[in-house]
Amino acid sequence: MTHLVLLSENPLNWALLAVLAYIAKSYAQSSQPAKLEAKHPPVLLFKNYTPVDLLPFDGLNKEHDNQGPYANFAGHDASRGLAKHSFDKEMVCDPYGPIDRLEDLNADEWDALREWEQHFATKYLLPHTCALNRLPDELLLQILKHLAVQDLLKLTGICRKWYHLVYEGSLWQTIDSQPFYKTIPGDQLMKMGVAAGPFLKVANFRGCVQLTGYMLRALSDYCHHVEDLNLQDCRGLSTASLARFLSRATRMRSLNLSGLESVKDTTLHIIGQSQPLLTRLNVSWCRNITGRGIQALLDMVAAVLSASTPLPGRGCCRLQVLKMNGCALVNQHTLMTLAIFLPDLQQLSLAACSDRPLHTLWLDKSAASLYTSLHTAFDSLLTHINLSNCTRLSNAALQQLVDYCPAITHLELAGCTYLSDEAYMHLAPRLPALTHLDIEGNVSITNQTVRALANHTVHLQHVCLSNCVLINDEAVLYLVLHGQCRHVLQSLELGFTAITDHCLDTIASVLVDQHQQQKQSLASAFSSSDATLMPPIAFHRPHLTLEVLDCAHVTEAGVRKALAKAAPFLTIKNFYSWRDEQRQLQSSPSEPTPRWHSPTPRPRHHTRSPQNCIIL
Amino acid sequence: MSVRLLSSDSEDFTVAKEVAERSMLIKNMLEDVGDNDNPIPLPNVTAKILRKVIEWCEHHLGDPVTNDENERRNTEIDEWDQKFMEVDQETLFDIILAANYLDIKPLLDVGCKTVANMIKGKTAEEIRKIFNIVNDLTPEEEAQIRKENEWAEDR
Repeated sequence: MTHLVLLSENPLNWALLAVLAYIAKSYAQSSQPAKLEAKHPPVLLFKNYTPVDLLPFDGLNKEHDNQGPYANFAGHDASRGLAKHSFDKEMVCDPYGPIDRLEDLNADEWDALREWEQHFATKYLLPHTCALNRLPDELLLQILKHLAVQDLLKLTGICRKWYHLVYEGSLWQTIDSQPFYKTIPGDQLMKMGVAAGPFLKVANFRGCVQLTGYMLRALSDYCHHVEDLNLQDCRGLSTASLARFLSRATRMRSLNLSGLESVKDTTLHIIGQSQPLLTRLNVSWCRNITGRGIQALLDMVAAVLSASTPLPGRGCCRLQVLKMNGCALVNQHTLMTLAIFLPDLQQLSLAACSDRPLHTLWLDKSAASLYTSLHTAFDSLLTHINLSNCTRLSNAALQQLVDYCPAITHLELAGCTYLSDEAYMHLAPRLPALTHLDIEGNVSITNQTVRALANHTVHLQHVCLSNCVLINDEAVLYLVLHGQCRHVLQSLELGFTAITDHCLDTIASVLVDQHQQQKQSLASAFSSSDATLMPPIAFHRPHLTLEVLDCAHVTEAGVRKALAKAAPFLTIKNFYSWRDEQRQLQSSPSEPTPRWHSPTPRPRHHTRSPQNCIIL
Repeated sequence: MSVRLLSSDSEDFTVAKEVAERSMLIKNMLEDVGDNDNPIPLPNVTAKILRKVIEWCEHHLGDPVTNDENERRNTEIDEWDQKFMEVDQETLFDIILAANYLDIKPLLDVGCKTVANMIKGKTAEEIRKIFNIVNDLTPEEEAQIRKENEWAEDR
């Protein structure tokens, strides 16, 4: 009772009770979960305001109009007042008069104004002009050209104008899907292609299995001007869609269809009919093509070349690069037509094309004489030849090839087990320009071959002798230390050969010696002012890479010793180094593996100097 | 040998001929009119911007002229240019416009790359904020676009 009396007597208690009740009430309310629906901010249409447009927003027609200190600014240009920190009436200029250019403000006042501007910019969306819009579209496109595809596409979600800018065809002359080929959905690829339309010149869709025949068919309606198309391993494409695209986009210069089962002999026929500008064609490992398809393509070329009236738009007579690795049933007749009717041919890949004996692979001399009137220079341009795994290539055939193609720089003969020393002793003095040689798995060759190469080939940079089981230290040391090519040799693959630790050690010592000599001669060249006392020109020895995987006589200790000696000039690839790399990778997992996802485009596939590749 | 240039707000600049000739527009004009002492009027460039442009041309006087199209998706900018381009947006866009009008391709490139770098790696919302762009897409359109480009989000 006394409590109630106390309560009623002291007004402070009433006040405390009220506070208590309020707290209890807010507790009760907050216990209900607030369900706010996800809402998009209201769409604001862009608009320019003149001082007259602003007038209706002066706040005067509102009922509860409290005339605060800022009231003067409402509906008016407030810049001057904000700059001068003044609410005076004089600060507001006449909305019907000229726009206040604020030219008389001093530096402090400008600073104040900018501060206010920043303050409002963080608070409100400013409806004044976006400064970027002052640039004409052509300049905006110039800016967009510098952005990667992902950044570009992100811009489509900014506003309508940018959406249309991003899908402007001129931005998409090149579509290289390599940085994102795994993640991009097919219809996005198609959307890019359609946006590019006739602007599309270079399209690299390599490995995009999500690209379907339907999409390629759609693209064939828009992209008629593609010059460089890479569809390698796009397994989703159909034969019909390929045919349609190829017969519509007839300006192709480079075409890569390798690994596509949907490429058939008829596809090759269409290429022959509709691609007169084609210089590079890659149909390697297309399982469903045969020599007959190639023959059909070549027949078209022959028809164009021997026709009395020109056949415009037909025959790829300008082929410089032809890769048809793994194509079955290539016969001698096809190869002959190839040599005669493709006079510009520089690179030819026929790996694993035939397991039949290619005794006279190249031209029969009597046949050649028939055609010399047609083309006199057909024998001189080939620089790259790949005959790897043409397992029954004979010595005689290779010798003939060498006689007809003296300009060869890259020669791959891996797995041609019939070849012996005889062929290479014939070859070495006749191919002076040779830089890359792959004779992996030529099991019957001996040190004699290596010696012949060492004695004659001056420019040899990359040699693969892996699995040539008869090769041992003697020949390798002769090649590296005394070979004509010793100053340019960069890599030597010696996997599964008979070399030993001694070989590595000697090479390491010699490399160190050479580099010291080089240093000294350079130093003395700089110190002697007399030009006549110049030492012989110091050569710059390139870094040497040795591959010694699976060599029975090479030990881990031997490799480490050699590397310890000559590490800056020498790399030795072996099982142990591979293991070390794995360890390094594991110890630094934060390091991204840039192989497939690097933002920089990977080098194009048709660079002029292909590496030695081993085709098994 | 020097050349006189007249900005839109009538300020008179005297610069070395080689500097002025970084601008293809001026170079062609000089070839057309030959040697004479009259200032070349540049009605699209204010004195403030012209001063910047001349500063850039003087610094890059010895640069070889390249027409490398491979530079396209490359946004590297050398250090001096980065410093040079540390200006407010208005000035930056004015420089780009001036470089375009005066036909100074390398300067135009640097300007465009600078803007591209402001865009790179940002979200749509951030970009709107930076350039004060008003979103005029409907919520449905925006959702649709976001869905289309989902794959590009995490690299």
